[in-house]
Amino acid sequence: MSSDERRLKRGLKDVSNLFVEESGLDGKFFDANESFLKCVGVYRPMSPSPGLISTKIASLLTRCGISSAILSIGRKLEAGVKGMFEGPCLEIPWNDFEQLKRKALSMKIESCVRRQVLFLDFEEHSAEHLRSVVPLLDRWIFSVPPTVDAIIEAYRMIKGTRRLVQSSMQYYLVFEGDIRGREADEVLFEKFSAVLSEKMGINLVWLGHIAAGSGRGHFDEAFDLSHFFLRDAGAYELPDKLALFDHVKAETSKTMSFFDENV
Amino acid sequence: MKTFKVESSKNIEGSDVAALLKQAICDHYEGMPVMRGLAFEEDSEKRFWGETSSGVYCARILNRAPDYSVLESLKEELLKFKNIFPEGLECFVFFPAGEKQGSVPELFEESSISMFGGFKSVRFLGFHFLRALDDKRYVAIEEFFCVEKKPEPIENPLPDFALSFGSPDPYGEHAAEFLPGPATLTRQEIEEFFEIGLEIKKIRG
Repeated sequence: MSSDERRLKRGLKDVSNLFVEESGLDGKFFDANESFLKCVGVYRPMSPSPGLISTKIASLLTRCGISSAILSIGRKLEAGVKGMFEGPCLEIPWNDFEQLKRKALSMKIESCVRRQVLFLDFEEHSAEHLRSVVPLLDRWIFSVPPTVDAIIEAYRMIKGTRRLVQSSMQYYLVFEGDIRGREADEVLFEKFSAVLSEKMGINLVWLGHIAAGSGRGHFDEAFDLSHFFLRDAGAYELPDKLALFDHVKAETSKTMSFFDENV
Repeated sequence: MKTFKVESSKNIEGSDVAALLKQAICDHYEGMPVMRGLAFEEDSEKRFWGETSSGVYCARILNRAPDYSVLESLKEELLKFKNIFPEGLECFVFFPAGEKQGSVPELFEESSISMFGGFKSVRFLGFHFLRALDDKRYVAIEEFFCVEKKPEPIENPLPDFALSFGSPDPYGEHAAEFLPGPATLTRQEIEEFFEIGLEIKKIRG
């Protein structure tokens, strides 16, 4: 499948069986010499527990050969996150995170091929945290129940941080909870997507459903993570983003050899 | 009370009065566009008709101040149109409010309100002629009575917080005060989400 074909896939059509039984990604998304170094945020405005979605998606990526880690910036990791994700789960104090920016200025950028994903857990209610973390994000997943209230909250956050994001940022939508009516969910996604496109020029990408209400949650069989590997037009690696990846690599190498340089 | 200057040099009669009263209706609708070419068409009974984006209206000019029997016959007349315009009809009834003006307010009591309560709106407007100090002539129009059915409010499917919380609009007039975080919605955005809410509600029953 070419990248162009993937870009055309929008809406709620079941276009992939990649995640049947949550193990089907074959990982053939990249050429041998292509890097994939992404910072991902997850916003769950209607839930006090953002960690669940991060751990689930990080686990899926790990299974398809993409090294993933969860990094909590300026706050403690949510209870239970470490138990749900087999990869590295780290915390960095806010001041240390700020220091990384200075370090980044004098950093030597290495040109090796790396495929890593870092899930950033941060305080979305703090303007200061948003100002520092959001510019680092390459992917932002909005995980909400399929209601108008919830998409309004997602819209408000997108609108209120639009100035901060990279131009190559890709926004994703996940509906949480039981599938009550496909038709209504489809309409809700399409309308929300149209508003975002019209008002802010954003192409919202649909990932799928996740039944996250109880227990550990599970993905709908149509959950399609192939969109996650879309190429970012005009993307470039920020020094402070690279510094963050280096920090995680250094921290994890003390205990485990999870972040391989070359995949 | 509204006062209109009479442009014609002739005596104020017949079609001159009608033209002024039509002007009063236009003012009532505050320039709302007149639609479907029904504007100010007169029928054989000397009613004149118009339509705006808010609906169809009908106007009648009486040649004397109304009494109870006139109200009764007007009601009968309006009832005939109720079937033709199920979405409702707005009615203007003009009458000369000259020497008999004193008895008119007594006519419009509770019983009159219930008599016209089933219509979208019924207005009784008295008009009389004035001559000002500059010797120019005017027509003054005063509303004596009005029954108006308020439209059923549409249940707001949006949460209250959409209107009352959040950082200032980062693209609006408060752009200089921008703080990252959930932004407020503009009126247009609220309307768009309102429409989405109605559609989803319809689908989900």
